[in-house]
Amino acid sequence: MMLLTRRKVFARRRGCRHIFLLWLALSAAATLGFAQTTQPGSGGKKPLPPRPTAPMTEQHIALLFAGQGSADKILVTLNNNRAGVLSVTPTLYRLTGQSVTLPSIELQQSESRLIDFAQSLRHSGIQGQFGYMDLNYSGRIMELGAQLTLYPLFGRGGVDSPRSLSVDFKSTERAVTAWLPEDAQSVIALTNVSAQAVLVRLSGDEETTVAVAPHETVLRRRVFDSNKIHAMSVEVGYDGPVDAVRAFGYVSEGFNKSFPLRFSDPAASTSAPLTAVGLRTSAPTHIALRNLQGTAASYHLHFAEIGSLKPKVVDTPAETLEALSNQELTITKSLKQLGDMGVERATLTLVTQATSKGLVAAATQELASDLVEDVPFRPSNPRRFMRGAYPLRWTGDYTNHPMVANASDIPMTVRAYVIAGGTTYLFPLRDVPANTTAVFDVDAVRANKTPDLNGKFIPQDAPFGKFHWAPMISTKTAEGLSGRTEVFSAADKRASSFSCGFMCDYDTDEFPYFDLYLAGLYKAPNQSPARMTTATEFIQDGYGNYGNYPISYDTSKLGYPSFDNTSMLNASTSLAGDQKAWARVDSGNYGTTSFRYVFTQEFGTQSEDGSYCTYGGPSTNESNNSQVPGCAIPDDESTQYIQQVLADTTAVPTASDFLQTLLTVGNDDGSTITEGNNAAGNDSCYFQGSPYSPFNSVSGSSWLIGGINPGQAESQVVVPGHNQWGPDEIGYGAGPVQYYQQNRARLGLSLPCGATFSQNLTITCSQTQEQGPITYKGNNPLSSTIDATGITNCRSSRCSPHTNYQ
Amino acid sequence: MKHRIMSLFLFLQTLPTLCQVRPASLQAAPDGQDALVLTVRSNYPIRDSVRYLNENYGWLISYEDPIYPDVEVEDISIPQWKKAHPGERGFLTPIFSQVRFRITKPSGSKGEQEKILGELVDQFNRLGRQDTFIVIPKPQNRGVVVGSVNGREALQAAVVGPETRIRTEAEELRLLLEGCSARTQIPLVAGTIIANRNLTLPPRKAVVPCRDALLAVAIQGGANLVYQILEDVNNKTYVVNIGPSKVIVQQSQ
Repeated sequence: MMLLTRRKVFARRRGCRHIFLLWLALSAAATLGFAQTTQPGSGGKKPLPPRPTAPMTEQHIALLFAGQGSADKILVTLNNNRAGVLSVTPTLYRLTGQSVTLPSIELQQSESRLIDFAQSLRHSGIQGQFGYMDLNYSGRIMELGAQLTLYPLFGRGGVDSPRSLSVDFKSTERAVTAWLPEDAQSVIALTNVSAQAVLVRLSGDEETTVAVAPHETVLRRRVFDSNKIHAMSVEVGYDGPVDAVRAFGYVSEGFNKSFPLRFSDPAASTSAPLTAVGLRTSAPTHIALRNLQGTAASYHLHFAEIGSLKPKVVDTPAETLEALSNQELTITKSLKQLGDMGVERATLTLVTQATSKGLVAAATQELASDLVEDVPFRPSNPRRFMRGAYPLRWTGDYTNHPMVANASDIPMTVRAYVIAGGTTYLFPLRDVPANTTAVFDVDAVRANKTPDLNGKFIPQDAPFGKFHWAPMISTKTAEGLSGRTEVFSAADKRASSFSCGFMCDYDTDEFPYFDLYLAGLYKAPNQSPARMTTATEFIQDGYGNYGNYPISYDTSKLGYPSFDNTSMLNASTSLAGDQKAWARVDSGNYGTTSFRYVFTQEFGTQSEDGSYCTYGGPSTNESNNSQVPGCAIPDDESTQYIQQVLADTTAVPTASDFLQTLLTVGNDDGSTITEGNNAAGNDSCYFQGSPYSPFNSVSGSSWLIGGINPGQAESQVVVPGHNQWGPDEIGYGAGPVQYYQQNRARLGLSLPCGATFSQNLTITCSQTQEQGPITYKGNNPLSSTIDATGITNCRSSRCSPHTNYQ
Repeated sequence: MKHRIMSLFLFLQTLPTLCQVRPASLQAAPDGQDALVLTVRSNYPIRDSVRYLNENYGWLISYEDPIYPDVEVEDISIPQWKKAHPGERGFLTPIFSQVRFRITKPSGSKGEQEKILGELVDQFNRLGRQDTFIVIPKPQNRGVVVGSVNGREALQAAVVGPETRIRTEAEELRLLLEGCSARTQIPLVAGTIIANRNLTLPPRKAVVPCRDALLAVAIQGGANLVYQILEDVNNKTYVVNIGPSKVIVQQSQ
């Protein structure tokens, strides 16, 4: 029965018609493509060391349609933030949960594509209303940006429907509030992106329960009496995976205008203050507030001019919002007050002592009779996503307004750049004092052909681009920066905000190069003559996204943790939150007669998938004439049995740890050893019918020479010293040992039996990227032998003592 | 050809006097340009066919045994053992069978894995045995062939909850074996794990099926790793093996 069910799904997918036509339509929707080339690395520098990279994993983005369909107008913006081609597989889900697999879309590197999606669907004969679209790609989180612009009212203004990711949620609660204009109606779409049914509880203005099947979208429509109610709120709760339910919706005023309902997960809020970046002072503006907590909350509103280091400000008196209540505020008067001071835009901060989960808010600006803009009014992004990569568009009457606000009480520095038409345009580093907003006038610098620090221009013929911003490395606050760009087009009737966070991986730096003390010989692992003094420059990252900043910085101003030079090599240093710092020593042959050692430090903010935002490369001296620490190819190695496996939490007391010492004339610390099969292994214990698969291959593990393999439990127990690597764990698991002891005799098979391997060992030098793995030892014999009472494991003819195990 | 089969048959018949373990074999013969005939002699004909496709066509298909019913299990312990150990259990294993499948020859085309595996299990399911198989496609060109009896699978619809810690492969495997065993009431034990067990896994954000979580362990451990869950009929446990779909050899000397 289950087979039949699954087959039906396959059949539907295969039966999808008009896919080719849709592929053509999507391809044609691409703006004239051009190949963007990455900037070359900084010439004359030493080769970059391999940086810690995150694995490419399967990623899903949900775009929520809230029942809009092929008969409506729908724009899709896709942003490729990868410095390479990115292939996206979209699957469209109808309201009922039925899927329509669409052809893959290939985005060129750094491409921002605007697709008239509904038109493409119509051309392909795909009709109906839709709940959501799943965008699937292999890569890193937030590598693809995506957003819908929906037009629920024909011929009227567009409504932003930002992308929805699993990482947006920490609980199964959602909340939203909104101003209600006259003749207001709302549509709330409850989309279940999971494969299990969920029961959703709605509370707030409406109390009800809704069952939502897998991939189904349930629409809830309400009509409001504007004489009685001026702000609405809805809270959603359910039992199930935290990312199962994606809620979205919109409010319409008669047939004139509509704006989105941006649900958020209160548990994912990073701070109590909420920020709406860059409100226009000339537009009638409505604020809706909802107090989610069981106690009253006091607050006041703080307005600050954008684009000024000493902004003009307006503060409203403190007010109180009762527990579990809504409030609608018209702030037009405050904005007019700012307008009278000559301020065109201001950032609004709601200052409150409520908890970070206490308040949700919405800010809506009436830009025209049929166009309103919903400005995200929310806490800053989580630290690991505290940056942005927004689309820029210069076709038709489109304008762009990127802004970055600092809602913290600590000054910060932001670096920003534009990628467009194959050029990376750098803005000068921008100091953003507390409670100010930096403006990056990309349209003006493009129109005025303003050169950047490297003398480059934003190409005039580029139809689209991308605006990237990121905090300078090691900001001293966990949160506080909020970015937004407003993409405006009167012709397309849209004032869209793009404000989603961005993955820190893409700000990976080789940063900085340090001046060095090469004062003497390196004596012992815990004494280093090197110390950080001044960072002299930045260099490009591996994506070619930034050029050199010809600026000197005193590292002490960049918030680096201070290291005790006498103990920096002991172990990694844990910092607060999601940060981690660690240290490493590289060695090099400096001069002809003596070995000198330089200090390398690495520092990172750990991202969602365990990789690090920032990364320090190898040190070099100012005159750039020291040799990069070397890596000699070992002649051989010696091996030594250390102990039975201790830290392996799958309980493999039957395996043995071996530690290797390289026989080499150089210093290979920091380089990597990787094992492979020189020939297929042989498992003589295995017999047909055994549920234990043959033990006939090495695992292909890698080890860091002269250090601890990060995150590897057994490596914490067996710490390799200078030019050592390991532990190499060898042996059957406990399960097969007992199994073969108990069962081989029943089949007339004898003991002892065992597995033998021919291990191939390669070394990859840490300092020379262009040099691939080199085999230094092939055909290294490994064995594991089970007898009636236990096991013996051997490596290079060195064997563990017999371990009793039955 | 007839002679070869006959001689093999005779050879198999002589085995019990030495050992009742019968060697498995799989022969693949072209049938026209576009088809293959797999002749499988094994206790695990579907598993061995999947393994053949993995090894020869670079597929990444995982496998789950059904919970074998008594009628599809045989005792192959040698008479000498039984005589010397009266009253003790012998050695139970899924029945040895010979099955011939005719499948489309893989050509590397998109979507062919699902189609060909479907052909394979359809033919097996028509044998009238209690154990049947289904194919579950998975992302990244992967899939799982899942055995069941009367609709009951070893992993059922078991799920594991979110896990926020960064775990090594070894820790994750232990957590999964414990968590999934508790859900299925079928003990899952670690089998042959040929993976870098010290690699770390990212946090698991949501409740996910055990199957997907196991697949994630395999994927994280190496690009070519798959899992096989085989029933230890004697101990009533399920053995989770993780290893390469094909042993890769890079001969250097």
